[in-house]
Amino acid sequence: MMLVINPGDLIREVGQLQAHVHGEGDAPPGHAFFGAGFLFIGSLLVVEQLAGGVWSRAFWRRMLWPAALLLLGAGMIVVARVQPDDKSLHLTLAMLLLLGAYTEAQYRLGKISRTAADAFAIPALIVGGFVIGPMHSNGNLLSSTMAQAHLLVGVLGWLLAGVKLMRVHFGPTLALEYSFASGVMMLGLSLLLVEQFHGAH
Amino acid sequence: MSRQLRALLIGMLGPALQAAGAAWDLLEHGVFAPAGGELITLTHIVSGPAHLMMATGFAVSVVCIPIALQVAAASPEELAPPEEIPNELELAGELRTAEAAK
Repeated sequence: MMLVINPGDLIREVGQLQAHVHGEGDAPPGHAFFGAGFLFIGSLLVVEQLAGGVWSRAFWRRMLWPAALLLLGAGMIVVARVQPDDKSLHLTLAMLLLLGAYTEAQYRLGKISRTAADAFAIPALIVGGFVIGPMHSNGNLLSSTMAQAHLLVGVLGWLLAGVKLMRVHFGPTLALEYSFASGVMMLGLSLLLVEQFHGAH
Repeated sequence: MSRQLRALLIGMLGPALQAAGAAWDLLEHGVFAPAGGELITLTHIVSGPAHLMMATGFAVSVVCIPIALQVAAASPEELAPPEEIPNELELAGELRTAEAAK
């Protein structure tokens, strides 16, 4: 069987998708900045694995992950303050990010074990996935691209929780560390995709 | 993985993100909105996902290029994955065990 695709038709179909357009008076585009933040810190988590002990030579590099979570949590508080809708959802995400920053900082300072930090991170990722996915999707999941993109972010949160659970079960392995780091990058990319189809939020 | 390959991957991650962002931008303006020049506003320039991806790639390059140089010059022992960070309670327990053994 031969599948024939006319490039002109394909381009026309893809062209029907929404362009990233902001209108006058639209709310500030939050998803894109959070997406860029997660993409940045996810890339650095990948580099942390590649660089091995070289990464830990500088204290500030070791603290970049909790610092990024802190900054994103503070940003989410601003979003909760500015956005007229979904305040409770944004505040929930802000609290999860800030508490995550605290536990990750405690781990990286040697105050708590990885297991103790994961005891917070795993439920936080599951709850965060529900909040940003099904609860925040704002549309029909079957017909709205934006709702589907939101759900993708939530699913990625759950997948990250799954990677953390496997780490607890099997112990630390390079494959799981790289999976978590690239998962955070994917989370950032999915938020950028949400912004692409969202236009304004 | 050899240290040269690690250094190459670390050094190329930022430029790869920038290239992906540039491709996304070309796709957006060439396919999604080919005649949408009038829609390009300051908000779009600052917050466009493709533009932010390029900016992220630049920021990753700024952080990573010095690390790539350090990795290229590091010994294999230094490139070993860091072990779990031991917490203070575990360290205190080990110290007590060592003292008791004396």
